[in-house]
Amino acid sequence: MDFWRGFALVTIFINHVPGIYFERFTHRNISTSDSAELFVFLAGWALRLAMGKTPAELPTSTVVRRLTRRALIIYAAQILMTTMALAMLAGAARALDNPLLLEWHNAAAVFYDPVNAHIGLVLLTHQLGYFDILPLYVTLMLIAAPAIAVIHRSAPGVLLPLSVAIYLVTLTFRIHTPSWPVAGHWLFNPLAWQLVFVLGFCCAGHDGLGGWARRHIVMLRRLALPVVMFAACVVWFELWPDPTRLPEPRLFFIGQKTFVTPIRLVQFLALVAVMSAAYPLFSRWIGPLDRYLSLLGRNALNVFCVGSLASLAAQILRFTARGGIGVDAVIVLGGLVLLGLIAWISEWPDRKRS
Amino acid sequence: MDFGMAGSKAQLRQLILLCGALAIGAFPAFAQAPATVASPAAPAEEPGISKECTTPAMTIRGDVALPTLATALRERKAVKILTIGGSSRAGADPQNGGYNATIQRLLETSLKGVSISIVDQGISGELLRDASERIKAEVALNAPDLVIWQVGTSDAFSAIPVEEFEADLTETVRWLKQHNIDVVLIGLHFVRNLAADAHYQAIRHGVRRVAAAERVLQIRRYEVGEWREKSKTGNVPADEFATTEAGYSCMAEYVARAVSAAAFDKNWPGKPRN
Repeated sequence: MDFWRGFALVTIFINHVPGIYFERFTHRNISTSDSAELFVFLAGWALRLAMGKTPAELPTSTVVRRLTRRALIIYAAQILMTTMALAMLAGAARALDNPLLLEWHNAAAVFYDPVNAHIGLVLLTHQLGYFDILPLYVTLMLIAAPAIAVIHRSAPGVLLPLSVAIYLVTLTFRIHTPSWPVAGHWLFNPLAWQLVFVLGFCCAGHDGLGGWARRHIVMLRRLALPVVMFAACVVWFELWPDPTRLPEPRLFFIGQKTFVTPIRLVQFLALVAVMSAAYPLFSRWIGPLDRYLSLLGRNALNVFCVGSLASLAAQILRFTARGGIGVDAVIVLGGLVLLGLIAWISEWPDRKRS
Repeated sequence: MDFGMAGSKAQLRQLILLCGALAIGAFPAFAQAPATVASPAAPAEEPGISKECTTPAMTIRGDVALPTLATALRERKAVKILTIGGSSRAGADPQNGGYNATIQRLLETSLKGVSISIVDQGISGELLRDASERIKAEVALNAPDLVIWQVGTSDAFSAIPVEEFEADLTETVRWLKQHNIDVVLIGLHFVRNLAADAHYQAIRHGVRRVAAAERVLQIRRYEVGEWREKSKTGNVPADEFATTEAGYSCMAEYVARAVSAAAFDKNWPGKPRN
C-alpha cells in the first residue's frame, strides 16, 4: 500500500504542475482515472487496516475518536496549506507586479471578497485549485469514516449497498456539493467519491468484497486486462464517443472527475486488479524506487502538503521562466528530492527512538 | 514551447489510425459570422453600459450573430448559458452573486419576458486542453444554447505551446458549432507587465486568430484594458482594472450587451458600414 500511495503522491505532484513536460509520462495519459482515485481508494484501505481489530480489542468509540482526531489534523493541514498558497500567490503578484496572479486558482475571492471568502475557507466551501482534494479527505474522515466504522461493526452487509445507493442517487439526480461564496461546486463531490473510499475499505478486508476478490483474483485479472487496454486506447487515441449521443442519464456514460463516473471507476478497479499482479513481478527489480515510494507513502500527509505547495511554487517558477524542458527537469528532480527529504525527516523521531 | 513530443504523439496517433483504417468584428472588434437565422423581435432595451465602463471601442461592433440563441429566444423564450474557463468564477459584485449573476441580471433586464439560466462550470486555473474535454461533457449534460468561454490566461501562465493551444481551441469551437451551440470567447486580461511578454501576446493573438477564422464572437478584454492604460481614464489603473470587481462588472456589461445585440443581429451605434 505504501508503494502505491507514494506512487500516487509523485504523480499528483507532477500533474499539479499543468503544462510541465513530464506530465505526459504519468498514467493518466493512458487511463480514464488518475491518481486521485488511487489516493482516495488507499485512504479507505488504510482505514480498514487501522480498525482491523475486533471491537473487544479496539472499541468503536475509540475508533471514532481516533478518526475524528485524524480528520482534524487533516483539516488543520488544509487550512495551513491554503494560507501558505495564498501568501505565495500574493508574494508572486507583488514581486512580479502582476495582479492576475491574485486570481489564479480560484484565489480571487480571498483578495476581492475577503469577508465571505475567509468564512468559506474555514467551512471548506471555498477551495483553491489543486488544493481541493484534502477537503474531500476531511469530509470523508470526519463524516464517512465514523459512519463506515459503526456500520461495518453493526451491519457489515449494509455498508457497500448503502454506499452504492448514495452514489447512484447522486449521479442520477446530479446532486452537487455547492461552493461558497463563489458560485459553483466542489471539484471532488464527496457524495460520489465516498464510494471509492468505501471500495478501498471493503477491498482491504479478507471478508465480504475483499475476500471474494481474493478468491477470484485470477478471473478478475483476466476480465480487467482488456478493460485497462481498451481504456488506454480510448484515451491515447482520443476515441471518446460524442457525449451528446450517449443515452440518459448521461452521467453514467461519460468520464467526469467531479462525480467519479462509472467510466473512471470501473477502469480504476480494473487497473487495481491488473497492477496487483504486476507489482510482485517488478518490485524485485526496482529496489531503491520501491523503498523511495514506500517512504513517501508512509508519510503521505506531510509529503502531500509539501508536494502541493511545491507544485504551486513550480507553477510560479514556470510562469516566470516560461517553461522549458530544462526548467521542468529541475522542477521534477528538485521536487522528488524535496518529497523524499520531507518523508525522511518525518520518520526521524522514530529512527531516533529505535 | 513544443518539445517535439506532442507532435510526435499526434503523428503516431494519426499513423496508427491510418493503418487501422487500411485494415464581436469588434468589441471592440467582433469577427464576422453568418447570420442565417431570422432575427427575432428586437429586445425591449439593450443593456446599458455604465459610465465607468464606457470605452470608445464600445461604439463599434461587427455582424456576428448568435443564431442558436436567437432561435431559443424566439421559440422558447428561455435561454441556457454555459460559462466555462479559467476565471469565469471570479469577481464582479460578489454580494449579488458574482460575475455570472450580473450577466444574468443584465440579460433578463434586456430580454424582458425571457428566462435566462446560467450554468457555471468554470474551474479557475484550468488549461484549455482540459476545458476542451470537459466542455463536451458539460454540453451533453446541460444542453446550453450559448457557451461563454474565458480562455487563454492559464495557458499563457503555464507556457502551453501556442500551436497546441490554437489547435485545441479550434477543434472545440468547431465541435460546438457542429452541435449548434453559439460561442462567445473572452480573451486574455491586459496587464502592463505582460505587454511585452512574447508568449502571453502569442496566446492572446491565438485567441483572436481562432475567433476570426471560426467566425465566433470575441470579447476583447485585453484591448479594453489597453485603451484604459493609454487614456488613463477612470479611477482604477488599467492593469488592476483587469482583475478588480470594477473590471469584472464592466466585463459582465460587455458580455450582456454583446450577447443581447448579437442575438438580435442588431447594429450598434457606430457599426462600420460594409
